[in-house]
Parts: sequence; structure tokens; C-alpha cells
Amino acid sequence: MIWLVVTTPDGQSQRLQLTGASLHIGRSGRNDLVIDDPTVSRVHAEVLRRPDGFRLVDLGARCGTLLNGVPIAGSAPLHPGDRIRLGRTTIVVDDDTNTPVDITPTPMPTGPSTTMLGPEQIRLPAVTTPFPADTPPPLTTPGTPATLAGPAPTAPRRKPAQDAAAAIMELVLEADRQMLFHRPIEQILEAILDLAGRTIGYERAALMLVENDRLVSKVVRTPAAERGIAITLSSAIVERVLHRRESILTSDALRDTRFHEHPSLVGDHVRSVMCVPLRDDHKVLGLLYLDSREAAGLFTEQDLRILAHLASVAAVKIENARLFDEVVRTRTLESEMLQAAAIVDHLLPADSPAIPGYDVFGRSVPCRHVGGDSYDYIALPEGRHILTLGDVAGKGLPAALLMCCFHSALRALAASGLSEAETMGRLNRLLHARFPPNRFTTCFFAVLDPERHHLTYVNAGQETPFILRRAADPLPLPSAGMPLGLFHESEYAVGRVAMEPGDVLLCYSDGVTEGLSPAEEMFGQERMLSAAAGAAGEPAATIVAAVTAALERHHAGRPHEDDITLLVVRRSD
Amino acid sequence: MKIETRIDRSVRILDLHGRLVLGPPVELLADSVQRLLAEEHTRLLLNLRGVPYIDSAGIGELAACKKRVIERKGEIKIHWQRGRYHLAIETVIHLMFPDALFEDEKLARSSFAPPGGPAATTTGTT
Repeated sequence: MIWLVVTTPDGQSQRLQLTGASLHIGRSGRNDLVIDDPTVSRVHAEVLRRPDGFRLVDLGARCGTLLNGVPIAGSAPLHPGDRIRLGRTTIVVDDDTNTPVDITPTPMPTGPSTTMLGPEQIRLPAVTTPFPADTPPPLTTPGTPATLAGPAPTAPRRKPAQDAAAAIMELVLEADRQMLFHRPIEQILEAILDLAGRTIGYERAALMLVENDRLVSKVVRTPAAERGIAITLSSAIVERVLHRRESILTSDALRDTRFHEHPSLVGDHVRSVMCVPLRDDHKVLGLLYLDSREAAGLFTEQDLRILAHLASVAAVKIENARLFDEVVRTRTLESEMLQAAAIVDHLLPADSPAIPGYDVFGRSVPCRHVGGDSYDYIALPEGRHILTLGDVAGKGLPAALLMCCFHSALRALAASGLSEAETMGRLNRLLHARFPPNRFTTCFFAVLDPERHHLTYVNAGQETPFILRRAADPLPLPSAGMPLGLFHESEYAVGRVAMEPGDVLLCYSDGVTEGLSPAEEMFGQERMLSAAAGAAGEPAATIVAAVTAALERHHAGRPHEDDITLLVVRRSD
Repeated sequence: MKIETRIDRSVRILDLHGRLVLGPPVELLADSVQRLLAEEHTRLLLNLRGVPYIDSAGIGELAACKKRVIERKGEIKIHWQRGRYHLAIETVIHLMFPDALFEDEKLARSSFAPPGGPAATTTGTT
């Protein structure tokens, strides 16, 4: 992966990761990388990712495209370290060689060169009355009187005292501008180090976030020649920053003799260090670390306050970005679930079959977006119809996925002309091979012959359907077979029942009979049969509606805990 | 769901307490059986008398337990109370364990091959 570090004529810089197959660069808002520089053409250049590496393409820009000072003709290969010039804008190609951050057990630095500010002590000095850099305002430091000793900074950045207020204002405005709009969290982290670099300056920097109770380095900046060489952090500093939420400045670490016992720290020759927490009101999200080996006293207490302020703004932005990403993820998942629900719903019959002398109606309501219940009608030769109701073990998406598998297999086998028992036997073996060991589906499989008024059926573990008959007790069609997919070899007995005029076949899933009232009493077969019997002279859809209404009254507002499916077949009088 | 494991010589008796339903209860049963099988205990008696309700996921896990035990050339039996569950659930249990359902624990224990070893108790909960 490579990065592009873009610096515009006004000194603004940003760092972009090249993630896609190409990146268009130019002044127009249609580009992937928009450069606000009048010397850049509207559509200036393109970076292409090719199997053999990256290429820079000039798209006919008026002032040309320079690569390492040489105008390119058409296109040229691009490598880390290359400098691209578009008008007055410079783009440096950077790789992402991983630079580790090691945390080494060390004592806390003490003495006059160390400043520690608690969270309540972090506030920016008034912008209207800037204090000179060499006379910092007094402050109280836990355990150590705070004075900023050491020589005047000779750092890459040292603003004159009269510029301090402007620097603070610049930081606040720039931080607000950078953090105002949503962008990926990776870009936010890069922008934080960009801001720290422009406002304070550093030689090396690291931004680390706490993830799963571990401190993980997210962005590390080092001089190019040191890429891949670890930055060593003092464990004591990290401990105080993370757990006491203190902002720490050590302006001359090498003067602390106790650090001499730690070759890794001494070997780094770090002179000036600042480390501040990334915190919001509730927790510490991580830390921001800057150092310099060039000179002691490079960083001042004012710098520490500025960095702590920047870290506070950044922490809020990081947390907001995380929440935003979470919302996006949730919405994406919700959208996918709605699509899944539409697909599963499409598998269920849209219309009831037209069977002479019979009225058929089915309804399935999942307790979540999707569920494992299903019903189906399949027309056979000679006017016969397969009617099925299935209930895959489990709930939600896993059950729905298996239901789709069951549904497809059943449709494929139903057309093969096998007997009812053979169909179920083969379906069982097929599902046993496809389903996980603890998954199965129950199924009531019936073939209705409307000429002979026979219903031939196999009940593979499904809740007992009933035939409601006038002036007679409901006739149960109990299960005599193993649910499908549990064991490789299962045999299925076939039952046959005559459908008399006015007979109603009532099939249902366990979500009906096991529906709970607020007092956790199950709806049960008795209530279901009573509701169905009360509407037995009505059309099938009315019978389904009557049972559903009785079940809803029983639920009394309590959410459904299982999918609810009903299939009713009524022979005309 | 809570599962206590007793040892009756070569038989491990798992006393299940609570609803055997989708989620942690089913996962606890799966983990308990897999742990015992990993320890080479392949004679298992599942005591369901403390289980007031079994859903389809619970049935699925009972089937998976049987498959795992049989794969290890072991034996699995059920101590239960007939008539406690829905007809469809009981029918499936009958079909899954045709010769391994007992309403009396003593009979269930004695249906395994001859024992040998002291008794102890361990507990897992969810």
C-alpha cells in the first residue's frame, strides 16, 4: 500500500492512502483527489494500480506533470519516495512500511525538565493575551514544581512569542475545519498528526488507540531513513497518560539518570517528549506521542497545552467517527436483512392455488426479519397438488438460509415423480448432507387429490395438523417420521385421509401453539382449534385470520418469540 | 441452564436443569458433551427430568450429541419424564433414542455395560 502526501502552495498538507484501482487528481470536484491550486489543471493526472506496481499518468495537463523534477511523457512508474509536482503542488509518494512502537518498562521521569498536567489543568491560554514562550505561566504539577528549564528551542518549528496566540487560533480553527466533516477514521488519525506537525512540529510521532484493552499503534511518523525502526515509549509515561489522564512533557529525558539503565530509551537519544491522552468525557481512547532528538527543551508547556487540546478535539472526533461507522454498519446490516426478507418472502407462494372444490390459504410471519418457517404449493399432473409446511430448527437468518436450501430441494424432488415416502427419504438424505449436525427441519408433506378427495401425507416431525370436521372431534394427523436432516437413514410412513365436504385441514408451526401470553401461558392446541372451528364454515383466509386474531389477543402485545405459520385447506360444502 | 455432571463408574451422568433452548443452554450442552468425549468418556446419560421445555434447537443438539457419541463408538441414553413435552417433540425424541429412553435412573444406569470407578461431581452453568 502506498500513501500520497499532498502539500499545496499555502503549506497545507494531507496524507491519503491509495486504496482503489486508480486515483484521479485535479482541481475539479469530480476528481478523487481535489487540489485547490489554480496552477493545477481541472483534470490533471491519474495514479493507476497495476499488477506490476503503480503508474503516474499525465492527463494532458496544461503545465505538465513532473516526476522527481522531470516532466513525464504519457506515464511513468511510481515508487515510494518519488516526488510528483503538479503546478505548485507537491505530492510525495510514501510507503506504509510498518514502524512498531515498543513500550519499555521504565520509571517515570522526574525533575525540573518534566511537566505533568492533569485533565483539569489542561486549558488553552487566552488567545488575546499570549504569553511569551520563554516565560510560561506558572502551573502546579503533581509531585513536581513546574518550571520549563532548558535552552531556547532550536527545533524544526519554533514560533516567536508574538505568534503564540495566532498559533493557538490557527490550531483551533484548523482542528475545527479538519474535524467538521465526516471522513474515514484512518484519515482522521492522519489529519491529527498533520495538525500536530504543522502547529508544534516533531521528529517522530505515534498515535495509539486502545482496542480490546490493548494499546495499538495506528499511525506512526518517523524520518524516511528510519522507517521500520521501532519507537520506544516509556511504560511509566504510558501508564500515567492512560490511567491518570495526564499530559506529560519531558524536555530533556537524557538528563534523567534512571533512563540510563534502559538502553533502548537511551539508544533512541530522545531529548524532548510529549505524550497526551486522547480522551473524551468518559474514557481514554488512546494517546498521542511526539518526540525530538534534536534538542532538549524543544517542547514547551504551551505546546503541551496545545497538543492536549488537539487530542481532546481529536478524541471526540474519533469517537464520533466510530459511532458513525457503527451506525453505517448497522444500517447496512439492516438493509441487507430487509433484502434477505424480501428474497425469502418471494420464495413463499404469492397466490393460493386454484384447486377445484377447494380453498387454500397460507400465511407466514417471521418473528425476526426472516425466519425458518415456510409453506408451499406445487402442482402435479392430473390436478393433484403438493401442500407443505416446514419449520427449520432455530430462528432468524441461519434458519432462513437452511429454509431456502430445504425449499429448493423439495421443489426439485417434487417434480421427480417419486412416491411421498421416497420423496421424503431422499429429501432427508439430501438435507442431512447439507445441514450442520444440530440443524433439521420438520415438515408436513401432503398430496391432495381433488378428484378422489384424498389427502396423502407424511408428517416428518411437524406439529400435529388437524382435520376439522362437522359434528366430530378434530382428527389429528400426528408425526410418525423423523425430522428431515437429522440422521442419514430415516423411514417415513404415509397416511391417507378422506376430505369430506366442509372439512378443514389446519396445519401450523409451533410458533402458533407455543405463543406466550404476558403471564407466559402458551396459546396451545385447544385455543387454536377453538378459533379455527369458530370460522370453519368461512373461506380458508378467514380461518387463518381467526386463528391469528385469537393468537394476537393471547399475546396481548407481547412480542412473538417464534415464527408463526398457518396453512389451511378447506373443501367446499 | 445448569448442567451438573455425576460419575457412576464408567458412565457420566449429566443432570440438566432449565429450558433446553436456542442459545447459551444449547451451547452449554454441546460444550459439556464435547468436553467429556475429549476426555474419552463415551458413555453418557442425559438426565432431562429437570428440563421443563425443549425447543427445536434443543432437539437438534440432542441429535448432534447422539451423532458425536456414536462416532466415538460410545453410548448415549436419556433419563426423562414421558408426557412432559409436546407430542411432536416427544415423538422426535422417541425416534432419535428408540432403545435408550428411561423413566427410571437406576434402570438407565444399569443399561450400560458393567461399571468400575468412584463417584464425583462437577458443575457448569449458564
